[in-house]
Amino acid sequence: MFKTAMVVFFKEMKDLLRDKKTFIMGLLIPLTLLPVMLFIIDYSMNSSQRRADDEIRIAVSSKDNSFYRFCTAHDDIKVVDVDNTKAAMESGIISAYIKVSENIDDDIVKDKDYTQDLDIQFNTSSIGSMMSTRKIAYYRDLYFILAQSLKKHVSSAEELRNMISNADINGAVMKEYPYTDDDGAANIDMSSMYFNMLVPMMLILYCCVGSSSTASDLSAGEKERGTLEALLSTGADRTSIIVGKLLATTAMGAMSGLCTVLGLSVYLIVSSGTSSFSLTFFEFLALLIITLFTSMFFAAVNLTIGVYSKSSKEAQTYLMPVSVISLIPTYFTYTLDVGSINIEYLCIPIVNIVCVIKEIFAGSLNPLHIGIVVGWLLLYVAAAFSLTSYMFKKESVVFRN
Amino acid sequence: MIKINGISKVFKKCEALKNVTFDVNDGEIVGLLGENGAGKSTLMRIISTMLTPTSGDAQISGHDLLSEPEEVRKSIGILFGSEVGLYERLTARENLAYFASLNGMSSKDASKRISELADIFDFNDYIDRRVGTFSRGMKQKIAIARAIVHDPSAILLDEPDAGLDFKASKIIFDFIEMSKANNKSIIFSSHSIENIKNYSDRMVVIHKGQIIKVFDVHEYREKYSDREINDILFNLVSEGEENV
Ligand SMILES: Nc1ncnc2c1ncn2[C@@H]1O[C@H](COP(=O)(O)OP(=O)(O)O)[C@@H](O)[C@H]1O
Ligand SMILES: [Mg+2]
Repeated sequence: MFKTAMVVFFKEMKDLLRDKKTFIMGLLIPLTLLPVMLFIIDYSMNSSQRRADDEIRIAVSSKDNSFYRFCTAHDDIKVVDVDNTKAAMESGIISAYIKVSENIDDDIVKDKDYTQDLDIQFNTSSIGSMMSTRKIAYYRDLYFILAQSLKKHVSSAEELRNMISNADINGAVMKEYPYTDDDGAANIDMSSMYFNMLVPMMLILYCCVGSSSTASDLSAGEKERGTLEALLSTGADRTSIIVGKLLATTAMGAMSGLCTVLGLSVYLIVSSGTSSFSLTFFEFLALLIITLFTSMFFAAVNLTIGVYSKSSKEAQTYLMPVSVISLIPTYFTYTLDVGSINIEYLCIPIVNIVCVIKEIFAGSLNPLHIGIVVGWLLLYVAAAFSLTSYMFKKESVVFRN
Repeated sequence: MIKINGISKVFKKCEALKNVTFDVNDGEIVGLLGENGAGKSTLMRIISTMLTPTSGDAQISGHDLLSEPEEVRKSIGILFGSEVGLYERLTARENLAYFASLNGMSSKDASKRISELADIFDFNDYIDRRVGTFSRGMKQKIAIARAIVHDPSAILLDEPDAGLDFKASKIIFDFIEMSKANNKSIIFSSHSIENIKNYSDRMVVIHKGQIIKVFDVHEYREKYSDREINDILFNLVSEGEENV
């Protein structure tokens, strides 16, 4: 039986690898897509960071106050006049809009609480705007420090405004309170958010999609081309045939998954200086194991669908939602904190895969968790495969009318 | 030798075969005549163990259909349609070798048999080219070779003449006659009276899953003219229509 399964397996692999489409979709795209996406994200993060570093453009609600004077006196802040502040933020003309209370100068002079007199508004959907938050918060603090130190020496709002205008902000003040950038902490936070979402998503997607066209080709495709009857009328038993087909489907899924891991490794190696992610040997190994079992699971599911379908077209219709459904858990768990992963999460299909992938990249590899997830995956594989095998032997499925 | 004993097949909605019984001797060609939906393919699928009969059984070369399905499959060669059952991205040789090993042949025996077949059907020139590049006639030869790569004693052809031009059907019928000369038991189904009349020894007329007539083709051809045979068959089918 094993021999026949191997005969089927090797024939299918030969057949599959001669197909350019399989080669491009199954190997080339998974290999290149993830690193390209990650490099693009890094690049755009860096360029928005650079823009945030250069000069901050803001709009201020009124000019008749010491904050406005502070901003104009500061070389790195440019106050822009805009009509529609919201639109200006969305189009990136300004990074923030600051509403200044008309009492601010009086509050400072009269020693009242003036910290509530500045209302800074950001555009939360713009990366450029979010990148400037730290810088703007720093300028606000700088302004408060300055106001605090000057208020003892002034008696009127007018006097305060003049003193701020004449203060040596770009020289002595900046020297005393320099801006400290925590190694672009904001930047890395943003990329890691994307990384944490993209990597499990792409891995799972390619473990699934990598075997879906193969699965339909090897089952429904045979019905369509009329080769299934020739195959089923040979001396081979059906279990061997379907085992051989499952192995070939798994191999294609695993190859796509491994190409994704390989592409990811290229990214990690190239960006090792700038990225906060890296993998140790064991983490890499764990990632490979998870990838392998995940692709096995999807191969079995996809093949079940393929066996049921009458034509490749019908199979594609059913297979498409599988890949979409498989992505939903990755979307809902991307905010999940590694520390809060518990045993319940590790028992939900696909969510558990995302969880261990997150752990691997967070550097908190847990062999027990990996073991639990692999155990579950084996169980799913066994269940899906028994179903495939059962269907492949059932004449009302194989010869659906 | 093929023995078919009272085979019936009920699908969910319809009764596709009703108590079908006939034998095929070694070196005999049985033509299975029936209209579309008569049950020809269903019978072929049952004999090749792809479908299980609802009742009845069969023996092929002494192997029991129900208890020895793998042995049964190894003793039959089957061709559904005229040129199907080939993998386009594999070469002709790879296709044949695949089916040979699925039928349990050693690779040594297989390669010997494949070169034998290449000589018989004259496809040495393109045996190592991918099937996807072949013309229809070339594919047809490979499909026939594929069906008999394991040298089966029974040969089933389900409408092998459907939609073929003159040249292509000659390849098929030459093959059928050659198999007869090699003492195989052959069933070929068709909805063409002409082909069955010309190429079979016995004719089994099947209508809505039931055998309505079995007769010796040679005998009839001596007794009646072509037109008369056609008329007899036409009347049979019309009567069958009334009886069912
Ligand atoms: N897998 C199936 N499920 C249900 N009904 C079927 C199936 N296969 C064939 N039939 C029905 O059985 C009858 C015989 O079909 P078939 O054997 O294909 O006829 P033929 O080959 O003579 O044209 C038809 O009425 C067909 O609709
Ligand atoms: Mg038919």
